[in-house]
Amino acid sequence: MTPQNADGVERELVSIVGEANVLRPVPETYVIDDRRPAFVVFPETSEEVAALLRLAHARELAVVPMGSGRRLSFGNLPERVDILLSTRRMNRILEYEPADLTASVEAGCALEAFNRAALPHRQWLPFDPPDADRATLGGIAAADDFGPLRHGYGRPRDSVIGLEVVQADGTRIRAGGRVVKNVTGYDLNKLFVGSFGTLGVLVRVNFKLRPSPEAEATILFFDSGWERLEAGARQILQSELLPAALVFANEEAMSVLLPDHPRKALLVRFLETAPAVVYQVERAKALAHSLAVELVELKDEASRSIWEKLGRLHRLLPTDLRLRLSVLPARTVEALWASERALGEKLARLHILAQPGTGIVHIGGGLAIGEEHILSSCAQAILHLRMMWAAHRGRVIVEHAPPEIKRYVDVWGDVGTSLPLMRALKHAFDPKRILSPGRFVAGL
Amino acid sequence: MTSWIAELKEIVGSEDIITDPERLLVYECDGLSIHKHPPAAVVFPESAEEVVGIVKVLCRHRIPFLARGAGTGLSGGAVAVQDGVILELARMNRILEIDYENRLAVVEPGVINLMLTRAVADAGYFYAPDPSSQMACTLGGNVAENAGGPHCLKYGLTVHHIAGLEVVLPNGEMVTLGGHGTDAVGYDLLGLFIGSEGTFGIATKITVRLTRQPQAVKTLLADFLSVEDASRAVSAIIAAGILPSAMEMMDRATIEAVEASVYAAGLPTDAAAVVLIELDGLAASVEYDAARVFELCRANGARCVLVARDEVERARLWAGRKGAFGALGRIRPDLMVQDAVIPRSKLPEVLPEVYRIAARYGLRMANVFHAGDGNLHPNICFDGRNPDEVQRVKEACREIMELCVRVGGTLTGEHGVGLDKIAYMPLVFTDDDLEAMARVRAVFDPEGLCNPGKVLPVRRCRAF
Ligand SMILES: Cc1cc2nc3c(=O)[nH]c(=O)nc-3n(C[C@H](O)[C@H](O)[C@H](O)COP(=O)(O)OP(=O)(O)OC[C@H]3O[C@@H](n4cnc5c(N)ncnc54)[C@H](O)[C@@H]3O)c2cc1C
Repeated sequence: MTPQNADGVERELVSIVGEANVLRPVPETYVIDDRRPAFVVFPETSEEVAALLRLAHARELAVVPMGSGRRLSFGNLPERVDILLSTRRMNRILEYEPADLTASVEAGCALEAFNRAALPHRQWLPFDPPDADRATLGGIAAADDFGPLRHGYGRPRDSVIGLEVVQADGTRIRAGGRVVKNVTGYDLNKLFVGSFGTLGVLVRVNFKLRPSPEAEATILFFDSGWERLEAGARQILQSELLPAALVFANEEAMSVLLPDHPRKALLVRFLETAPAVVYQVERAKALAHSLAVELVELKDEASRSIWEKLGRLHRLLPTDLRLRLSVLPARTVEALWASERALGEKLARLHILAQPGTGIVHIGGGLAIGEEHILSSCAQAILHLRMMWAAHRGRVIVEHAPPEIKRYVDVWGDVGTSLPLMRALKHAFDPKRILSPGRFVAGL
Repeated sequence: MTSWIAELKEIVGSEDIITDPERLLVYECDGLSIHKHPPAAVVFPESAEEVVGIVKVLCRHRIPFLARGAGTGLSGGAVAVQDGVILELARMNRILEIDYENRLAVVEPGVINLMLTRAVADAGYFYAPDPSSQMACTLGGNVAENAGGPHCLKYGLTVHHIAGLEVVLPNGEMVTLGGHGTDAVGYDLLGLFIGSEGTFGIATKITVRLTRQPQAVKTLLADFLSVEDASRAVSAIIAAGILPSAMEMMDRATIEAVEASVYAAGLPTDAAAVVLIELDGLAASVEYDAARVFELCRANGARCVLVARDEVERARLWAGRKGAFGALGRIRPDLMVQDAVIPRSKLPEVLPEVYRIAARYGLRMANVFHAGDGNLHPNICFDGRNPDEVQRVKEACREIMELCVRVGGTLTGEHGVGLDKIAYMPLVFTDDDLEAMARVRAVFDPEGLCNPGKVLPVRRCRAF
């Protein structure tokens, strides 16, 4: 965009959302990788979003939608970013029917705000993505962003029952509805959830809720090696127990989560009726005893708070690089080892969180930015990990990395045989490539 | 002989193709007898490679085609409306792999739902989605319809239990959707394909997730003197934050039909409605919740609440429930099994209205349904040979659909749109919504050869 064009565009943006809701020049906090958007806009209604997209479509301006911005670094280097579209002002709960266990919210509604409103009805949305304290529900849906609770409750994808989406050309469509079971037509919810703002802008999301658990406790097993912790996890998974989350954490992670216990740990979270929590805690204690591992029990608030901290781990420890591996659950510990070996020497304070129930492994650490050889050897290590794990259906996604690494590595990795379908879908929904161009798989 | 038939015979052998009009009549409809149309031919592939070969031949000749599993579908989905060729997948029925450690199984699409659960039961697992037709329907059909079932209330629909698919696209190319146990990257094509009613391609291999059997199960039967009370009890249980694994309602007409059939389960024939409630999970929770469910039922007017004493009693109650459609089917020559969803708190308001609609059209109605999710099945027993009655059935169905949509519900919760509900689609979706769906379909099937005439109103598909 030339400065003259930019002035013209600014006038139009102001006419849509008002002077106070167009930001220019754009401060550092909104820079995506190495691109600074020309504008940040803050629409308040879906009509305004539609008008903004009509404008962008007509002028072929690149738009990147954002919620709280906590996941803006997730994606390949953007080709272009002209307008950053924040849903921050679209934060209302539009409908909430406790008796139906369903709700409809604007995309910018915060997860925490919603769960506070649902608390008196003893209901909740069981999501715990990283930075859950800042997450918006639209952002969670757009990124299908999950945390350890995925083990017990599935991904956000499984809770989204309806959407309102503004398409690239500004037309609005609805997918799904407000009921918990629905096969009326194609399920376009699935298309948009997890599409990272590359097919349309989510403006409204309908969810099904869960009754909130009556009681909670977390059991931690500690040991100096992974073997017995792995055995513990396996036995829990093969037992009658129903943990809501199950996570291995390495010493570095534990040094922050529970500073008195900087050892390898298995964290097991129980969310159930009160008698079932008591029962499971007893069973877990007996298991710890039989495995001869050390055990700590955290109740109620202490339990909640360690998980909340775990969701902020990357803010509490240096995290210039963060990878997510997805492997077959039985290989979780193997993947944990492999990633530790691959990156141990390259990252400072390497921290690992791994979920043996779902096969998700998160690994993060600090980088000596500016040291070209470290960056390129990191990139090599990522590609090598990816290649190794591809043979076992494993994936390695780069959730966060400096642009220097993204220049070497596609953050998503290989898509497989369905890439032509994805390209065709992108073309069908965003033919001018104005929505987050370049950021998604294969640079879509 | 037409050249494409000769070409197909070369692929499957001349035994494995039917073109004789008389024998084709078997394939003129699915479980919903109201829509009938015979296919041009039926072929029986035995492998994915054969499916690829068949699809390529048909594509080249521009002949429409569709997959068929067991033909138990209830929306006319497996009917070859445009004189197409049916690929009957019943012979692709092998369980290829069971991986308990990762809780996965890989199956061919013709595997019958219940057979999978039986195959893993001894190891302590089950396949969660359990349509009432599970003794007959195939997993391929379940994927295509995103089938539900009584236990979906707690365990979710088919889409929540499929980890990956191998699909032959309508142009004969083969693709893999989903990660088959790990997370795929990119758009969720797996989720999009599930429930696409056979219009996006043919699933030739399915990776499913297995679920561990719960520690404890408790089955209760509450009987009520009015349908409203029964509905209120259901709503109260949901509102109390209890998540039963199933909550199924049967009204008097259904109870009478079941008790007069081989599925007789000892249900009280003088009740206006019974609700079959199952709780499962940890024994400690099940006991605790059962006591609360008992109280909530009594507080909402249950005359009595029975608890199944053992596995035999439990199985009998479920046989009664799962045999209900079959039992109803014997009352009159035809049965219209309807399917709609409403917000569950609306049950007490909507159910009586549904009966009033049936009464207004002089139709015999029986309701047996997944009450916990608000998924209604108002069933109409009728005689398809009587055109006037058929007309009344259609009009009543439309009114029921309009009613459900009006209270915030939708047209179908598990049986799909198929042929049956195309005309109602504009009740829930705008032209723009439908156009977006048509765009997705065109991505999978640009030539429009794969199960044409289903799901979307035709004029809109034509636009592409
Ligand atoms: C008594 C009775 C009870 C029922 N109860 C339930 C219930 O509780 N819940 C529920 O959800 N449904 C229920 N159904 C409906 C029906 O059983 C389901 O829709 C089932 O999933 C259909 O499976 P099928 O193998 O019979 O498929 P078919 O009827 O043969 O086909 C259905 C659709 O799937 C497509 N298809 C089949 N195989 C494939 C494949 N491999 N790839 C792509 N497309 C394919 C067909 O083209 C067609 O469009 C019931 C039906 C009956 C008769």
